[in-house]
Amino acid sequence: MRRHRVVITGLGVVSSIGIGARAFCEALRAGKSGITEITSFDTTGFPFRRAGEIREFDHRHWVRRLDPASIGKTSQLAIAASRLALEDARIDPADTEGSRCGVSVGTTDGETLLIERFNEDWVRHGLEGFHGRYMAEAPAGRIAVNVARDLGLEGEVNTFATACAAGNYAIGHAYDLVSTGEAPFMLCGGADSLSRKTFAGFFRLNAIAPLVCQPFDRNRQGLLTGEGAGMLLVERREDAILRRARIYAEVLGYGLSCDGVHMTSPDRDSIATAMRRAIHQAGLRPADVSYVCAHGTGTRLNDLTEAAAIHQVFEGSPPPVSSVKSMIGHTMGAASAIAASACALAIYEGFLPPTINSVEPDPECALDCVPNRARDAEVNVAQNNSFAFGGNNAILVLGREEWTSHRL
Amino acid sequence: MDVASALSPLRRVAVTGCGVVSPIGIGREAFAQAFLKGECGLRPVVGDYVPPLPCMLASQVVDFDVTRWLGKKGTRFLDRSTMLAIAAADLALKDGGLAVDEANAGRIGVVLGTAMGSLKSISDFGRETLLYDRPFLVNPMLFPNTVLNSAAGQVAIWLKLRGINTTVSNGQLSGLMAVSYAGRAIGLEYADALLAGGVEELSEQLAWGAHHGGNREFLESAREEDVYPGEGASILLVEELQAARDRGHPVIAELLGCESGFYCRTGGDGVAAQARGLASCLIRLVRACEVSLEEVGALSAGSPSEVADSVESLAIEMAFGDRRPTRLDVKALIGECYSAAGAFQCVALLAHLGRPGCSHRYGLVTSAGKDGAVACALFERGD
Repeated sequence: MRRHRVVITGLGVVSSIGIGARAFCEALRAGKSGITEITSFDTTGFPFRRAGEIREFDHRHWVRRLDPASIGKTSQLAIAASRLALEDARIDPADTEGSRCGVSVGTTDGETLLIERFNEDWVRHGLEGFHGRYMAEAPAGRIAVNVARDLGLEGEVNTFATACAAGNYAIGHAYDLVSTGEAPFMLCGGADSLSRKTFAGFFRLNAIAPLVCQPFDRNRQGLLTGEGAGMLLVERREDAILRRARIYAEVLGYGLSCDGVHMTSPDRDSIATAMRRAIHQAGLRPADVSYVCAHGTGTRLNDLTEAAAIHQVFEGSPPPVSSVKSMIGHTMGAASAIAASACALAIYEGFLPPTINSVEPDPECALDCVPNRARDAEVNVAQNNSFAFGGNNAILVLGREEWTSHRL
Repeated sequence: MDVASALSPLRRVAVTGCGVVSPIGIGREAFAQAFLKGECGLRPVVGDYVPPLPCMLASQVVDFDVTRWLGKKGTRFLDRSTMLAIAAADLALKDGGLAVDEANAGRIGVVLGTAMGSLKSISDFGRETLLYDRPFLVNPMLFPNTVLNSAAGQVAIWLKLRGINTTVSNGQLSGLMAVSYAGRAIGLEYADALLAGGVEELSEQLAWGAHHGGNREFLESAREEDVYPGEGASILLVEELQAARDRGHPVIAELLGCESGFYCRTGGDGVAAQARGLASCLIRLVRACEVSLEEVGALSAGSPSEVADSVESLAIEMAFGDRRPTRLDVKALIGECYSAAGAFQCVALLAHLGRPGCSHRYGLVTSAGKDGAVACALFERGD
């Protein structure tokens, strides 16, 4: 199918290891950890209390048109990441005002803090006994809406609620709108705030690690939750070239699939299907993929299923596979968007982000997980994996623009 | 050469089935008859809500027996919105006469719109963590219900659909944006058939949350514009037009296209600005589909026609002038079904276009959020 070529020219990352593309990139190269003691909710009664929390984030600096106090934290994170992406793309926000630029954001928990506040008020006062004006900002769709409001954008606004694969869904959707000519350019990615509900739920499933997240390691003890936002500016390749923009990477395609079997347990074959769809849409073969940025949550079930799917698709000789979650935890709806930013940086800067906390790689996974240290490497094609509750799988494939142009 | 003209055309999209679980009827036929007769689902609230809802009247789905669709096994932990969605999806598949088997399951998927998921499930689960000394003693079986894509994931499990599975969350626009997304996905060959629509369940949490939030889309508008809360699920079966014709099933309508945008309402003439935005979307859509505004016979709106200064009323006036299409108002009959509203509007329009003797060939569905977002879809009557 003939479409416009779509490239990534701006990265906005708000993460526990760095705010802004530059800081995030340096942290990836250094294998920094963003895991700390949780302060944003009361952890009394929980035996484990660590997560990838955002510190030193001043929303007043980023939320400019709206009153920051009038919107939820997830919206604030998404707005900050969007402004960072525009800045990184060297686009003046004044030039995007009133444009048909759209917004596409993925999230797992939406404005979870407002719903938690609602629950607390409910316990204290009964559902009818308090003033909860803040509930107007609780629907998840407010995230993309608030980005558009703060930046004055007039394109399609869409929030994807496909849980932990939502970032890739949102980027894929933006790719569709730009490549088919529906939108000139898009801000797309994902955002989530640390959620007490999600922490409790994963804890109850015995999926939370006490201290560190160790994907693909024999000693893994589970995942750590996290928060953050990743927003990418995507535009038509010819527009980017005309304005002499820095092109990090090209969006080559994506693939979706659904397990249709179980709400929480991943399915190897369905994941492999999504990978094949993404690689096929990109016009590539598995052997062309230089690097896989794993979903890599650090639970045994995820690691083994993901590794098995990778071995199936790459027929026994997979490229290096690493997990950014070892550094920032599982940032839910933001996870695959932040990971997509890591892929774009890996391609542009020529390195593989590491899997930190690696002590003893799990022979059952049999993957080169780039243990502990970033590695210099030419990355022509990066594949970004994401899976979610509901059996929602979304795989994104990015390529080095010079490399893909050379192939044509 | 013009760059745009070098792009491949998208595949055409047909609606071949509708699944409706509504306050005025279950199933496409029952809903269409009730809608065309103008039957209203508004009644005094029934059910054991604790505390009672902040309204005396609502449009509830009362005669819904979930075991008719799902049997008794395995339904214990499903929430109401999931059950409504599964029932509507199953009805849509059956209405469209599409049998799912091993060969096609990977190409049939689900696209649902939901503003808040099941707020009841999310909130009940979160509340549990506050009530006990050991906050993690929540029921793990209920955890999956707290993700916003729970209903879509469960529909896929119950109906054995392994094609793309997407949940969009766009407040009032959720249902219509799901249809829009599904149309594009069929057009781009990501799937061959999709169940697309929205679901909303009435609960204490949603009603009180909307009450507190001053959600004019939900309860406060109830007072001002006589729209009361509703609930239900509305799902369309959309598939590639040629494939639908090839398998010989009647095409209810063709989905010609969708448009949406965001027109911020901060500042002085917010409503007018949003109305201009919706009018421009309408005109762009109709032109892109090579239809003239005069040919659009009906318009299924999200706000009541009596309110002359609403975004939709103003936009219709701006776009159509004096030659206005027949305006359909399903919300007056089924209440504010919020996430599902846009999908109900679609089914209402299709019921109108399919009515014996209806002279209208083209119809629009419009939706406007109170936040600035607008969307519209254009349908052409089928066989």
